[in-house]
Amino acid sequence: MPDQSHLYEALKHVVGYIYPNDIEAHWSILIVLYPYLTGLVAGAFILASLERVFNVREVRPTYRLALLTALAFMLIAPLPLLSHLAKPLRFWEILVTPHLTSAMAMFGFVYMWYLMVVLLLEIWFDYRRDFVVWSRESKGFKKFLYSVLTLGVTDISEKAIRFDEAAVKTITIIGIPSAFLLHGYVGFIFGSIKANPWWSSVLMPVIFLFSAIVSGIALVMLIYLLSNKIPPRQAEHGVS
Amino acid sequence: MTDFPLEETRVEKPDKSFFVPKLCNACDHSPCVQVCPVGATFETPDGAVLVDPEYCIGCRYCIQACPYGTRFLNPITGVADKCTLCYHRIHNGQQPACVENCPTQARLFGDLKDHDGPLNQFLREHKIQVLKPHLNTYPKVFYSGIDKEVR
Ligand code: SF4
Ligand code: SF4
Repeated sequence: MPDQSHLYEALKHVVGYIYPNDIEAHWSILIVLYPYLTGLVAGAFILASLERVFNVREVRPTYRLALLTALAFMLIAPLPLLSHLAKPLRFWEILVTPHLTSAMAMFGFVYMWYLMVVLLLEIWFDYRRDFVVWSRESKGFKKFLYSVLTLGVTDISEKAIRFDEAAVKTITIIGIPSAFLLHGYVGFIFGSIKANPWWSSVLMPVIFLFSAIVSGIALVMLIYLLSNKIPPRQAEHGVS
Repeated sequence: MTDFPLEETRVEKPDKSFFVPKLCNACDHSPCVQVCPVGATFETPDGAVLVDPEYCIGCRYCIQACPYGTRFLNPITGVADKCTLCYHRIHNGQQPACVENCPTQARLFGDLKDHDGPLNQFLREHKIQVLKPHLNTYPKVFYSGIDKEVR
């Protein structure tokens, strides 16, 4: 049981009325962290799609880095949510018996869609040729790992590569609205709370989106700069 | 907290003040039921809103969503908790404890579906308001003769 003695101390200074939920006046820092993380995901993905769909040549060297950044942050994004639950071991109930009117329950599906259909698929198509090449060149466990990652598709003819590239492009085109959905939806989770006048605004998803784009691109830039500083390996220059 | 400069934070003296007991308003369109991701908060057929402590995951979304601030995370059980309208008592035909104990009988409890019952009769004969009507939660807790300043 958390120590609540400070609350009795605080109670002496209360003027007016208090509510039962005044213990929970703030939702907690973990809940702040989690939209921040999904924001980085959406922002990094949008940077990646700049290169793929809109052909912005300048950001080409960051393409793969941006995708991998998005994946890395996507995988840890639910962690703050999970550790914030008072009963974390029951989290699976959200997935098994979601309550369809709840914005939070529906977010599970948005998350799954984005992770499975957009991110993993795009990264796989983009890396497939490399997986094949690496699995032929390396030995031992690495060889095994890379061959598993190819999922048995080892055709690297001209035609197959072209198909991969078309697939990546298609997924990115689906991915842009999905990234907007992902983070806009996080804004909606807060915006749909009518009880909080600071949140209940239809602009919430828009605010979230723009801050996501800014912070995601900034994060990729930072990682790119730092990874270029690590000798002797240079950051990848978009060999795709 | 102890050396909080109390003297400097003077509040203006109010012209008028009231006692307004705040409890779960047993909303008909309850935001807390709507937002619960697992459906642990539910409305009983007779209109009370309860939390299933075996199912609640403690995400606190409902605590943020309740416009009346009446939910909290029970520090002992670790799940969301709220006024149950003394569900265990009203099911045995008793009144909720607050209704029974109020020394001036300021509270009235009854069946809203019973059109000629004492509760509906009272609602017809008095000036009735609900809290935060603009949020369309349709509370089933009514306040009689309350100042419109009260939220
Ligand atoms: S007052 Fe709050 S806890 Fe009670 S039913 Fe309405 S939203 Fe739920
Ligand atoms: S804290 Fe419990 S009752 Fe409240 S929304 Fe979360 S799971 Fe539902």
